[in-house]
Amino acid sequence: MMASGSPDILIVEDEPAILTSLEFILQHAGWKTHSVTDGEAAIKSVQAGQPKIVVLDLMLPRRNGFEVLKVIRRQPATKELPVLILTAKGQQQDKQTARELGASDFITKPYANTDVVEAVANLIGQPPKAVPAP
Amino acid sequence: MRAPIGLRIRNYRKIKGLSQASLAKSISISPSYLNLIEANKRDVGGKLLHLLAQELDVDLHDLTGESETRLINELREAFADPLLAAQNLSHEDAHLMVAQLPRMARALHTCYRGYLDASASASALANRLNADPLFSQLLHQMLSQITAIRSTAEILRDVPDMEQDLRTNFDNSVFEQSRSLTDVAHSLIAQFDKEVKQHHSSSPLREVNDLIIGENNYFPRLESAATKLRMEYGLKTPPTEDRLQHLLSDLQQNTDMKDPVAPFQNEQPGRGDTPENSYDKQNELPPAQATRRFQLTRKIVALKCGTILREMTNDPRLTSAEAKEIAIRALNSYCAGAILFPYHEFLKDAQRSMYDVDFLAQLYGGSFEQIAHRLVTLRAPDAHGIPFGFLRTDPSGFLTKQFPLPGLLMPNAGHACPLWVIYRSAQSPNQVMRQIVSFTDGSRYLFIAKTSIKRVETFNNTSVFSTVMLACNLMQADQTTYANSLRLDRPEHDTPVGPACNLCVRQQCAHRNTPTAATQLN
Repeated sequence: MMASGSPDILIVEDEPAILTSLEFILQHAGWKTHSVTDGEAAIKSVQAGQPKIVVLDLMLPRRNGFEVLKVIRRQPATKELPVLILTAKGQQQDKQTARELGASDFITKPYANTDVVEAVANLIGQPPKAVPAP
Repeated sequence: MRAPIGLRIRNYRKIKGLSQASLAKSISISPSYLNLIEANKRDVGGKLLHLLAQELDVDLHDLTGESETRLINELREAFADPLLAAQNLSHEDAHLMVAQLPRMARALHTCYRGYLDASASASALANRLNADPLFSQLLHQMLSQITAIRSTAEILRDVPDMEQDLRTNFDNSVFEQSRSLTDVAHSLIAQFDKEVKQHHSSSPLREVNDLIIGENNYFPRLESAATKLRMEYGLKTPPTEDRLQHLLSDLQQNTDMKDPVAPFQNEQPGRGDTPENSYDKQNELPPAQATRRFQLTRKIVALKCGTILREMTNDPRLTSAEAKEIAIRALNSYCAGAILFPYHEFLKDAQRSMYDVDFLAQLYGGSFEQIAHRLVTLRAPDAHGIPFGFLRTDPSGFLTKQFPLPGLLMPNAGHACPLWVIYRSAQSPNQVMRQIVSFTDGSRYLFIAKTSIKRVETFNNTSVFSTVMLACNLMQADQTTYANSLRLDRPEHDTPVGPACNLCVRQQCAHRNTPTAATQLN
């Protein structure tokens, strides 16, 4: 689902129900989003048109989230791009790997919508238009 | 302060309901003499002590205090446990309780051992939950569904002015996700039931695996012991077989040597003995030099580090004597590896050679398996190598050893997925084979396997071989020499695999040989 104009946020999530709710809360907060459902498409999307931030799941088909993050950090054009990891993989080892690969922030599922909106706002330095009540 | 023997005799007499006069009569001494014994004014021992134990119907050790000493020490251990620490029970309390209320003391000790066993079981189950691929997948599925439900419910609550169609879609989503969550929860409960039943028959080997996994396969105490031993005896890298043989002979002649462990008693003939007497020279060839050096080093460790190995296996995760014995052998091998392949030097060479196992094997005079095993242990928090998983199979393909890699779905026992390169490798001994695999959760790994012949074939003996496989996350694969010329960025060329047929969710896989236990996932 693409909002009009170039997206602020690239959402990479393969669970349809989570993707739908993420798109809604981030658009409701005033940002434009673009969504893909696998790692390969995420890399192409980042290279095609740079968003302000990538909201990235880890367990993805066709190249997992760690690989996507690694590619993003290796490209000179995207190495500073904020990447927010959203994942059910909350083990210490995963957090450490994400940190080592250069993740900007890490939110473990299940999360409160406000946590995601606030983390995105912090990372792109742009307050949301509307914040859902906690 | 041990309870005096006279007091113990008096206590047991009262428990038995005997008067001083009747007990004295039954052992043919005067009541006044028994009174003096009970008041600790006369020594007692020998035949008289045996008679007293017999009449009082107690174990001799209970009367002499040996049992008490053990019990006192065990109670002191219990009192020091965080569970009881708030009670501020002192050493004197332990003495007093054993002297005055011995049966209560034993009951408390029994309860404490039960608590330790239960804690160890809970810990083992927790480890199993982390390592089991099916649990992992079910839990991930549950978390995803809970995330969707929670997020959607928050939207429905927080955005009242939503279009009706959209609201209906979100309502339906919550309903569908809730229903699906119920199914997954039922599957999980079924797995828990199965897991609890399986745990009661948990093998000693599994307990040892739990211990190793719990410590991330890194044992700083053994690394320190290895460094100390190398320095003490000026061992170079790699130490020659002659040097090790001489050192072992010296140690064996040292009469001051205390408390060696005997880690070889249940091993195959020829393993662990000196090269000269470990095999029948007429019928069997000696093991390879790398194996001989490793065996000698293990014997040295057994003689020099017996106390450390024993202390380390005094761990609540090891609940049987058999598990402790297996753990001693495993830790002994770990320490031998740490001596032959010193941590920091080896790590540096591993990184410099891009984890080229054959290169390191030649540099250090080790076997492929020894080097692969050592690579897995490079997990010191302040200086670590790439995280590797390790698998070994026998010629039938049965898994005989494994060290898991966090995130990699590995079967606990039996056979792994038939598509893993570890099985193809057996068809081409002595060649390193590699493979990039994808799991259904999107995770990708580089597998490196080699089949080595451990004993060459002669007219009278068939060859013995085993296959070793290392696995690393694809993210770190480019730090290894084995990624050269591989297209790491082309997942469509990966081999789609699972952990093992019964744990795999690829229902339509043409290589499936047993039904999946994960049917309910779909």
